[in-house]
Amino acid sequence: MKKEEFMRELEYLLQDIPDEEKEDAVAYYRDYLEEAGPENEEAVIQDFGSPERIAAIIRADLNGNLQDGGEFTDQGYEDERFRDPNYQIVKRMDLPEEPQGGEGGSGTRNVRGGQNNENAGKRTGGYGKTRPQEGTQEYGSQERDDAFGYGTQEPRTDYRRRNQEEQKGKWEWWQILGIIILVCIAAPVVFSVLLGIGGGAVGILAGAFGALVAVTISLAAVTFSLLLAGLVCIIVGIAHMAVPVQGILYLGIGLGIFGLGLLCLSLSGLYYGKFLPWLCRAVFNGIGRLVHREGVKG
Amino acid sequence: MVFNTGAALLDAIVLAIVSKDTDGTYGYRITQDVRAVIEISESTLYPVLRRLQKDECLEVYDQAIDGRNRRYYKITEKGRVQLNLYRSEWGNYSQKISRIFQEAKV
Repeated sequence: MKKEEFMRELEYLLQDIPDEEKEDAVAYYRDYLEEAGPENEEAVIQDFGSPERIAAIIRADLNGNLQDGGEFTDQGYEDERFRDPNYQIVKRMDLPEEPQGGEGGSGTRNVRGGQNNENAGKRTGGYGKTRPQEGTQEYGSQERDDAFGYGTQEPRTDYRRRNQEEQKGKWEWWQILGIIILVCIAAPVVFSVLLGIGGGAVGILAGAFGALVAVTISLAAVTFSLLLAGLVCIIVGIAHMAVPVQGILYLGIGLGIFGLGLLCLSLSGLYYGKFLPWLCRAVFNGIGRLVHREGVKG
Repeated sequence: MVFNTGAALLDAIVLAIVSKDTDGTYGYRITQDVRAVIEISESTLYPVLRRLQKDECLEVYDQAIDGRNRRYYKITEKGRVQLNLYRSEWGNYSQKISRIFQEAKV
């Protein structure tokens, strides 16, 4: 590509940037090629890469200046001049893009001491921000997706991925540990709650059983004693028939008591004959159902 | 060259090279002087010079030569202050790094 052609294309490509910037840039590169002289012209143009590349550099720098923090969205530029000792192509920014140009300006950069360090930090930050966005415009053979795109980034990415995997493993480990700790803490609480509920249930059951036993025994005893007392009274009444008033009184009381005894006897008949067998059947059925269900579960 | 030249270091190098010529120097020569030390491409320095100029670390003036204008870059007072700062920072930095390498067992 000849100088004139190069400059024409560059001018064309820089149409959209401010006139001042464009004139300055075009003048610089024309001047540069003039200084290089006809004998170096071709080599220099080759080193430039292409008008598109130069335009991209200029525009990227402008954007870096205009936008705070220097994040530019269009494609960047890079160079494959730098090779690492393994003779792998190491991508490197062709020029230091200027994230701090807009914000920092000369003001902050001239301050000494601590603030300068801060500024340096800003610069580094800017690098991180801008680098990943610069695609491979010219030498697009290698992709750079690392935020710290210098040098051989493949191992870096690998390392990052490995790191993540390690972290994933760690997370699982921690989860397990957490669950164990949680169980250890929760177990006494759960156990005591269950024990309370179970104890209460057992108590209720025991109470109910006790009441049942008491009723069963006392009903029989009451019936028996009523019948016995009634009979005794009747006998005593008959024996006292010599004195009719006394005899009839005893006889009446005896008959009354015996009648109550008979009532209790019929209740007993119902209780022992019907209720207890029903209860036994119900309890056994319930237990049988529980056992059956657990069996199914197991 | 395995080590990268960051923005600040490149600024410092350019300021140092420009400061050597009291009458100033021009883009092509600056580039060649920098290229004699570190590997940069022919196109690298324009944005750097432009920025240093905007930051008022460099001033420019045009001089007619061979029937055309040549743009000269000259360091300003502000540029000297900045260069001084860079120099002391670099002194500290490079000294520490060098010490590490000297202490290293190879």
